[in-house]
Amino acid sequence: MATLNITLNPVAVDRLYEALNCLAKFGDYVTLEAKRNKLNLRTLNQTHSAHILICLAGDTFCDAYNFVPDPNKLLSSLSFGNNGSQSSSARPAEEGAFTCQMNVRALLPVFRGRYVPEAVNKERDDTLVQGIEKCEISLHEKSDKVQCRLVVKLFCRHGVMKTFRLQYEEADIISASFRREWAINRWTIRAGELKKWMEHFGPKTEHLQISHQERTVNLTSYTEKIIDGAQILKTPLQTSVELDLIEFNEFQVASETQIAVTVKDFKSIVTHAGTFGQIQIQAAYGEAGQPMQMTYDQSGMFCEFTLMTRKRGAAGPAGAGKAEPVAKILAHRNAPSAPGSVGTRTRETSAVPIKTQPGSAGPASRKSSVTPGPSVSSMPPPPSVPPTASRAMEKLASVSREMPPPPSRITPRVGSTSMASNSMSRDSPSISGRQPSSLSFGLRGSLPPRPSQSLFLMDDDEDDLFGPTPGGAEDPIERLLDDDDDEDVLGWDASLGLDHTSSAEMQEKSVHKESAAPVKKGQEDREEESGSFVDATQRKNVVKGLFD
Amino acid sequence: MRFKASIQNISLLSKVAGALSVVGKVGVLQLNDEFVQIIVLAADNQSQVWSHITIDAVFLDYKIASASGNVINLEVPLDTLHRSLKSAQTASFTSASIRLTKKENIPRLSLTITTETPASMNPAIIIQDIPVRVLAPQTVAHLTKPLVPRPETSVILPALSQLRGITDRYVRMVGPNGRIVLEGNMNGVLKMKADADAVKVESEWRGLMNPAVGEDGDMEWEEPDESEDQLNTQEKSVFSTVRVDSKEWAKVVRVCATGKRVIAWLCNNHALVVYVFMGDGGDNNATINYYVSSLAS
Repeated sequence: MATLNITLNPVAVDRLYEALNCLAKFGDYVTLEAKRNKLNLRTLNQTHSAHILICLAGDTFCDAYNFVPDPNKLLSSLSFGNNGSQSSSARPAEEGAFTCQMNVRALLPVFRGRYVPEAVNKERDDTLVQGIEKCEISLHEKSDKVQCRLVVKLFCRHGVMKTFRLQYEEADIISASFRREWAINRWTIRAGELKKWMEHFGPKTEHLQISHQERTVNLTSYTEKIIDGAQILKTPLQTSVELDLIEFNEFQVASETQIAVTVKDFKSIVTHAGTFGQIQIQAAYGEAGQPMQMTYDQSGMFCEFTLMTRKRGAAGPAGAGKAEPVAKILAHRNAPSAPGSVGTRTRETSAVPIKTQPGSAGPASRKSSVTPGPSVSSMPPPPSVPPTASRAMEKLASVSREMPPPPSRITPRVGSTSMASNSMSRDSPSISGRQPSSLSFGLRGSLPPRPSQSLFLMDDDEDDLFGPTPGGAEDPIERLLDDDDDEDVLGWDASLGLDHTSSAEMQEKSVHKESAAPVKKGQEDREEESGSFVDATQRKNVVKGLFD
Repeated sequence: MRFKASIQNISLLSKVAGALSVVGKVGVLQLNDEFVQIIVLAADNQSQVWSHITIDAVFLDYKIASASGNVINLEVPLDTLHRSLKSAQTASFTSASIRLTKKENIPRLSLTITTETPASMNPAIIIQDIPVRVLAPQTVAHLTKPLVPRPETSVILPALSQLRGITDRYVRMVGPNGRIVLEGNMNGVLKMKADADAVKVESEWRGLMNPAVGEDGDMEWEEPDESEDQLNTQEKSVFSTVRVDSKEWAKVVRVCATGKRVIAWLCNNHALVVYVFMGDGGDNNATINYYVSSLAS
């Protein structure tokens, strides 16, 4: 079982709240992805036209961060990674990242307004009276699948401790596909400045066009709704802001390039960025119809927003700038033709006998658990969790002895389904005109290849998202995200207790697996590491047993 | 049809638009050579709001031309107008102008605001396009300012922030469709009463000023047929009463709160007329007249 322990200081809690608040403006669910040195929060909006990734660095954002992957998953995914041709692109799965999804609105009140001195948002925090001293987040995952919870403990003043036990659901990681080499246009501006300019835009306009002339940059809002005579006064306020190029720290955009994004999304991003002090927002994009990426970071929080852009006036399905691929993905994902893959994810189908014993869930059984669906070639990625699952997560403020099993969660084999479907879409012969190593969904074959670059893909190479930035090689983002370099350095508290017998057993196991499927040297190291990590996990479980 | 002007007092215009957006969604903006008038009619015909702004108080280089005697009538969404005017409320705002234009086949009032960016002191231009509908002269021909009889009571309303707080509580107590009774006399007394099913409340202010009717220039009334004697013999202590819908009264008070000086006329059992003077000096340059008919008892 994976172990995750995070300690946050009050400032970080407030930052986390602001981040969740921003995510909540895009979607109902946030996907948590714990890796060795970072925690990723992701949200995909309902129309799949915006993807948000907020990465919390384990060393700089958190006071303490300890994640130990599920050794079973680690091992099996290692061997799995080797039996395919795509070993290089299946990295996150190899690392046994823990993923789950939660209702972001249930998370918000947990972290809301817990910090008073030097409040991030003065208006909001003026009315606050309570403060915390420390926040601990830990994952309580058990093999019997009955008491899997994410536990948030808030150590408040005067010795008060608040405990929230949050249910979570299994989730697939979806990353935005963003090709840096196409994003030839980029600009950088101070977040506070941009926020101030965006305040002039009314709430009802739909689209924001970003264009520029020789010396000026134009932000113009517009609507494409057809308004008849009677409704003419309900036409949204159309706002245009013209800024001198000098307002931008950097502005390199090909002439004649005009893109449009959703005003609401853009405003949400800028508002969140504005909660940081003096930070720079970077934007990178290609032509209209290709995604745009906005990034900024401070104190160990890295925010990356990928938005689909469009061309003004290019309405209708034939329009080249319409965010068409996104819609198609949505339709496909919701298609009822995927009951097989849903089987591992919903309660109704939980009766399907699936081997979930730790260690026994090898790659073969995993694949077989998904194959009852339609033919592999047409298999879509697992559809998103049905809306009924929104009640799946409740906040339990008190320590309750009898906790019902989370309704939607069947197995802790988080990520396994995503991996399986990943492999299928990659292996899928239906991908026409694409390399098997392409990171896109299988259904992408039906889409025009370029410039309608698809926005989303299953996560198998997301670390490239933060690829080289103009900041140079010493970019903290790069350093953080380069897992290969960092994982040996990653610290976890060895004093948690080393059960040598168990450790040895685990290593034996690993070696056994290894012999079945030889792995690279680096992966060996990882296994050894994981062997020790397991002890900590087990030890933790014992501790938790006392607590319950 | 042409209209173009620069705005020299955008905060005053913004204040008027903000107050009117409390009353209704849409207003009729009348522009002519001498003044600007915004009229808001309530859907239930129980109230009307007439706002009057002299051109010099707000505009510079005011240019208007139209086929119908240089008069332009526009229907304007008030909250949008207010919102766009607020864009100028930054410290670095340098100039603003407004003109009537047409974009994407929709007539618009285009507001151009020039500001200086705090960092570089370079100009930045904000353009807000407010959708409007151009009204034909005959469409607005029926719009005439209500005529009220000479009021029995004319009183300067008490401190508006206090009045607003008390009014809000009254409105909550009487609930929707509740009624609030106002009584006032020429001895400087104003009473506000609520008589709901479960509760009966009364507030009384004393020592208020009673300005002479017609002391301020733009107030209009219809002289009654009765002789002056009758008016003069009226006892100062006699109360005149109006009954108004609680929500309407709450709106009246909110509009009042934006003004510098407010005079209320109580026409016994007939109407409540509130004159709100918006300008900093409390002068006649920008006023809002709020007419509410008294409900039957």
